[in-house]
Parts: sequence; structure tokens; C-alpha cells
Amino acid sequence: MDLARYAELFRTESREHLAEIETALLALERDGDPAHIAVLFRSTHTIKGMAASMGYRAVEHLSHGLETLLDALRSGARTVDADVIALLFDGTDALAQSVNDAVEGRGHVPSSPGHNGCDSPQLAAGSDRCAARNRVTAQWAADRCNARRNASRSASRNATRPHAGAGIASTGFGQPRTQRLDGRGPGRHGRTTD
Amino acid sequence: MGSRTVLICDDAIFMRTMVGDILQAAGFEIIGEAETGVQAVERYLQLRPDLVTMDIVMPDMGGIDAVREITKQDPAARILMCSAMGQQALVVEAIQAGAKDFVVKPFQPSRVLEAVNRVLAAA
Repeated sequence: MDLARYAELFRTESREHLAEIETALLALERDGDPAHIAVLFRSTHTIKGMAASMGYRAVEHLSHGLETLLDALRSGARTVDADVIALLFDGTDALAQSVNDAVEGRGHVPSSPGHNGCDSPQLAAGSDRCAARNRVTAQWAADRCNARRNASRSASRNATRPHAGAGIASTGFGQPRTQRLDGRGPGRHGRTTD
Repeated sequence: MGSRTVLICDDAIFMRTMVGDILQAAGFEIIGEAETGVQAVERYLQLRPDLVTMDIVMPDMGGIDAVREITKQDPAARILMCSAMGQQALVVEAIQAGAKDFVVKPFQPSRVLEAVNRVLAAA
């Protein structure tokens, strides 16, 4: 199977889901409604599945780590607090960068020990070590950004959210949902989906 | 005999495209797509495809509940679950709900076609 022809579709749809994640995270931070966790889980899960299909291991592992944390929140094994919210924002930023890196050929950075090991039960249990690892992952991704972009994103995030850090909105996520790969409308195979 | 008809249910355009390409290349006719469980049920009743591929995690109504609704209306429905690794418990639940078989992502064309043919042969 020629995966290259799916790469741009992967990036576009991943960006849409990252925008949904950002919106749901802001809402979760604002009102704490557990309904937002289902949205976060679904979008993260979808990115993971697409990344696995493309062989983008770094994206797959990072989204799996986030998914595991979200599953812990969903089941009540871990509660939503400021630290978790910050962790989710950091992980989402890292995921956004990882998606771009993967599509542009910089993404086969690995499942190395320092990259992301937070797909383990410890994260679900709230392990500080795993949380720290995720922050290392976020830092790893942040280091890959150029200085101009970092400054721009920081300014954007600081303007909208007190936790600061890099913001997804300024990276171009949140564009209108792409309908089909070939641009022929919603039903690539002849029928519409609505 | 005409080509077998398929309804593809997945909330990701990426996944619907990939599955559709695999099946079309093998001679199947994709007669519809759905991106939520609710749409899946509606489309099934409207199109009556020979086969349904069903994702588990979808908005509005998940794939397992969609399987329940479809098989309630048509116990002979042939539904192939598309699961991610680590969803074994959900796959078992889907089979109990009426799905005929499953295939695990990431998709390998040969595995998808084997599973599809198993489901159709068992009918």
C-alpha cells in the first residue's frame, strides 16, 4: 500500500482533531464537565489510529500516552486538576508538533526511552515520574520549534489562557473540516455521509 | 453476480478512505459511508449493504451500540468490526452484540480482505 498518498489527509484530519482537543481542553479547564473528556479521548484515539496506519510511531506513542491519561480521567482513577490540565495542554502541543514532524519526514524519532513511555499503567495511576516524562516529551517537541514560532505561540497562549506555553491556534489548527481527499465533496465513494 | 456492496462506518475520513481503497481494489462496491453510529444505523436500513465495516469509537453512538441497533432490525446483518490494538474487551462485546468478525488496525490489505471474505463466506 502506497502510504504517501494518505500523508496529507493524515495531517489535515489530525489538525482538525487537534483543534477539537484544544477547544475541549479549554472547556474542561473552564467548567470541569466530564463530558469534555469523551471528546478528548475520541479525537486522541482517532489520531492514534491514523498514525498507526501511517507507521508514525512517535505520534502513535504520544497519542497513546494521552489516551491512557484520559482513560484514567474517564474511569475516575485520576481526577481533573490544574496539574492534569497543564499536562494535557503540554502533551497536545507535543502531539501537534509530532504530527507535523511525521508528515515532513522528521517524525520517525522514536520510541526511545527518553521520548515517551507514558503508555504504561503508572500514568493512569497518576505517577509523577510518567507525568514528568510527558513533560520531557513536550519539551522535546518545543525545542524543535524555531524561535520565531515559539515567541508567536507563547504570546497567543498567554493572551487566551493563563497556563501559557505553546498554543495550537497559532499553528493553523482549527481550519474548516476537510470533506474528502479528492475535494469532490463528502462522499468520495459516490454517496454522501450526511 | 454483481460486486458485493459495502457500507463503511468510521469517524475518520482517513480510515474510510483507506478501507474504501482496499475494498474497491478488490472489486467491492462502496455504496455508502457513515461517520457516527447513528448515521451507520440509518445508512444500513436505507442501503442494506452486503457488508458493514464498523469502527468502535465514534461520536453520538459508538460502533457497538450501532451493531446492536442494526442486528435488532436485521439479525442477518454482516458486520465486521474495525478495532484498535488493546480493545479486545470491546471486540468481544461487539461480537456478543452481533458483529461477525473483526480486524485490527493498522490495516493490512490482506488481513482486511481475509476478514471480509470470512464474514461473507459464513453468511
